[in-house]
Amino acid sequence: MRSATISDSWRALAALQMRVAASLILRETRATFGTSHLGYLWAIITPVASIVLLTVIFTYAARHPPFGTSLALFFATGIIMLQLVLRLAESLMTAVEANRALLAYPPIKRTDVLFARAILIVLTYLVIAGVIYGGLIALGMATPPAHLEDVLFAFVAASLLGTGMGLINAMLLNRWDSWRRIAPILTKPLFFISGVFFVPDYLPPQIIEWLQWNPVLHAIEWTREGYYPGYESQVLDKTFLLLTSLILVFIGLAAERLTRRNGGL
Amino acid sequence: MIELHAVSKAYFAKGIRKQVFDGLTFTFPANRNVALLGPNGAGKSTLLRLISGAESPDTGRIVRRASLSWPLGFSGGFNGSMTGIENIRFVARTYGADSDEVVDHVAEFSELGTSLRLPVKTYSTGMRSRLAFSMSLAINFDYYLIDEILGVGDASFRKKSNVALREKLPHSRLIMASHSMSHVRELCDCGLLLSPDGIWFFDNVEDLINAYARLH
Amino acid sequence: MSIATGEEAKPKLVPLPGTVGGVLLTGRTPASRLRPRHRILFASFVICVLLPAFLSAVYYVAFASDRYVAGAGFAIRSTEATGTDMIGAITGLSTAHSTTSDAYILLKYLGSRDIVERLSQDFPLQEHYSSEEADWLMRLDEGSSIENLVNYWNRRIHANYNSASGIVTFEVEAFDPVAAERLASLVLAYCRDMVNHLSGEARRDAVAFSAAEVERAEGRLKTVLEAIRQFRETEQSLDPAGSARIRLELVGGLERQLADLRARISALQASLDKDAPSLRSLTRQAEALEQQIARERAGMTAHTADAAGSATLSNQLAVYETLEVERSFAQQYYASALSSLETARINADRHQRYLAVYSAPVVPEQAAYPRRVLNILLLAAGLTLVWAIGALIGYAVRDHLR
Repeated sequence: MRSATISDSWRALAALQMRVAASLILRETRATFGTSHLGYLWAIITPVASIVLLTVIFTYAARHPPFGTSLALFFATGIIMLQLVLRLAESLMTAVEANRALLAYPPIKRTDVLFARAILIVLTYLVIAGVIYGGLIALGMATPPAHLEDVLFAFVAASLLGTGMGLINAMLLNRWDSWRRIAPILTKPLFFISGVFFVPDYLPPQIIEWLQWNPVLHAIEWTREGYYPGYESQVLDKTFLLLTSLILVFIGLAAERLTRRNGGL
Repeated sequence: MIELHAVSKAYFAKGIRKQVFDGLTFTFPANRNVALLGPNGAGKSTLLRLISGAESPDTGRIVRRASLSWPLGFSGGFNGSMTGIENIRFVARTYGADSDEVVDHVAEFSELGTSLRLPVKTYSTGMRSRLAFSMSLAINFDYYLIDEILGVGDASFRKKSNVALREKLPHSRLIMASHSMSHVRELCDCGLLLSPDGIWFFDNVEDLINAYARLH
Repeated sequence: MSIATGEEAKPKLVPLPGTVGGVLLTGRTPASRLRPRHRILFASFVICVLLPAFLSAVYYVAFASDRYVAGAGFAIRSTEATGTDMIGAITGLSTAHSTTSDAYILLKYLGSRDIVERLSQDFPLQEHYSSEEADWLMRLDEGSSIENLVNYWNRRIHANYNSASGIVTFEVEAFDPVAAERLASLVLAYCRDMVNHLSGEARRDAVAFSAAEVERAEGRLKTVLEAIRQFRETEQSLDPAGSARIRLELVGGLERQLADLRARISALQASLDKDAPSLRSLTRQAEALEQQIARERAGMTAHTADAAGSATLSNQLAVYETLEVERSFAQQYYASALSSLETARINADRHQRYLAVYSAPVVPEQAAYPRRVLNILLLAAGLTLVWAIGALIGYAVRDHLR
């Protein structure tokens, strides 16, 4: 009888999950920039602007692209991936807290809120990446990617990585409120050690030995290997990146399940 | 049909564990409106949240074969930075109701007027309750879970909401926590008493009220 | 226990399980009971993890053919001793040397179509990889296109470059030990050819400019010498400066004689009669001398050319001197070009690169691949991870029922 219930309601359950996800995603788009007329466009404009600004600064500071002919493209391939990971990690951390009021509605679970935000951020960054690469191509500062599938796979891997980090952050924040302040400190150095503005292969091996444990570096290397026709990374280890991401997602989801009973919800 | 199977629930607060339910097994009688009575802190709101699914039991299972509203209370699940309309649309979408219809219905019933276009954080408690109540009435549920929300607002709204609730009764059931004996008499025909000595079921509303009165 | 249902009439106090010990009976459903969802979970684990892991184990144990590996390690060295400088040591940029780029070229070459095509000529590459020795999963399709063969080759060769030590290592997989050794030896030989080719090319490039310079200098010198030769031919004079000197000496001698004569004439005039025969003869001699001197002088400087059309001596001299200067310049230029060619040669020799092999291919005794246990465990671990995440998400969805 119970099994019948479960299988009967499977379709209804899937429909409910879809509804919940859709309404949460829509809500997220409103809540972040609710009062503005441009609405969610800001969520795309702001990162694009900050990436463009960083690129301009970097262009004037460095002059010579570490690889290829376009400094902007080199920087963009790095910074988009990094921002995607950081945004997921930081934004998922506060997702539960920001939507706590909505958890009063029974169909909405903690995981829904987390997934909805993750999906929205990934989609947003897909658009952001499209806008930036498209802009660079239109301005003649880049050519279309050589292996689009690799760029996309790297994007998926980075999304998983960021989601894993974000889930764990959310669980840690649930436990220790001061994690809110610790997490950004821990992720700050990623800007410098993820290969955003250098080619890891050109670094001395003693440094690479340490840097290669940074999964974001691999995501960026993968992107560049996909974007540039001749970029061959000696550092890139796709298995390491995917395995790390999956392990982080698993730890995050498992922690979510295990911390649930503590009345925090 | 709502069944509780060996439901246990405990809370931790500052290292102190408080066991609210321990192995509660209960089947809500079909086609009856159930009142939940008990002193503050006995677990009425927790029970409603457990029934609704807003919270999961530590152990045990809850089987629901009906559509249930969220527990309608003062605290209600509103996102303060979203406007009333946005909150309504969100809830309508989540429950798979037509959001335009629900918005129209709520706008008419709640009499909140242009306030609906303001963020909910600017609302008074009364306005929030009106919004919550109107919203739940605008969506059809088999069970309405009511957590002391009746009796809010001015006399005319109170009257109006009583009438609206009664109109629902031929098709829907109530599970209602309340301190107002008149509401209980008026709407319920059986009930649970959550007392320090345990949880008691009364098949008759008058007996329930008497037992509740004896608690003090 | 049983609180329940509306059938029981009357105010009935139903104690909660736990409050009254004896009535607890059905209070708790055993939590450990196997539920349908547990069965689904277990089934999904079997399908997603156990079954693939089992199939892979069957494949690896029963079917997978051994792959033998032979490889080599070498460094690309330059004859020039390269000392690592301070900055190089810190940044690691010292390795951004020509040998580094050579190493990267070699890495590319190892996976290129060129090497596959060259290998196919010296070794039955396609036949070996699509032979019966290979199991069906690892086998190359018979009659594959060259592109497929190149792709397949890239999976059978593992090359690596360590920029710190400058060492290139590669491994070639084959389905029998001898073939592995043969392939690795061939690949190593090709690598050597490639480095020699690159080095020779660089040497040629470096020397080519200097050689061209020498050629130009040679040409210029030749032109000048030829001009001098022609000049001598037309002027019938080997050395106009010499003939001028001879003429001048001649004129000088004549003038000395004339001066002698004049001295004797004036001495005799004092003692002799004007018409004395000796004086007359002296005077005639002097006149003859004067005429000869005048002729000689005219021959040296006069602008009036004689019938042969050959230039006067001074003209000849001017042309000749120009040629002479040109020749000396050309000679110097030639000498310096020669010496710079020599320097370039020496430099190029010093930069010449060669393969320093420290480990040559040997016939393997044991198969290196497949790593059966490791692969099975890795696959099982990866699948378990994916399955666990899937299950957790499934549970998160299912929670909407709770």
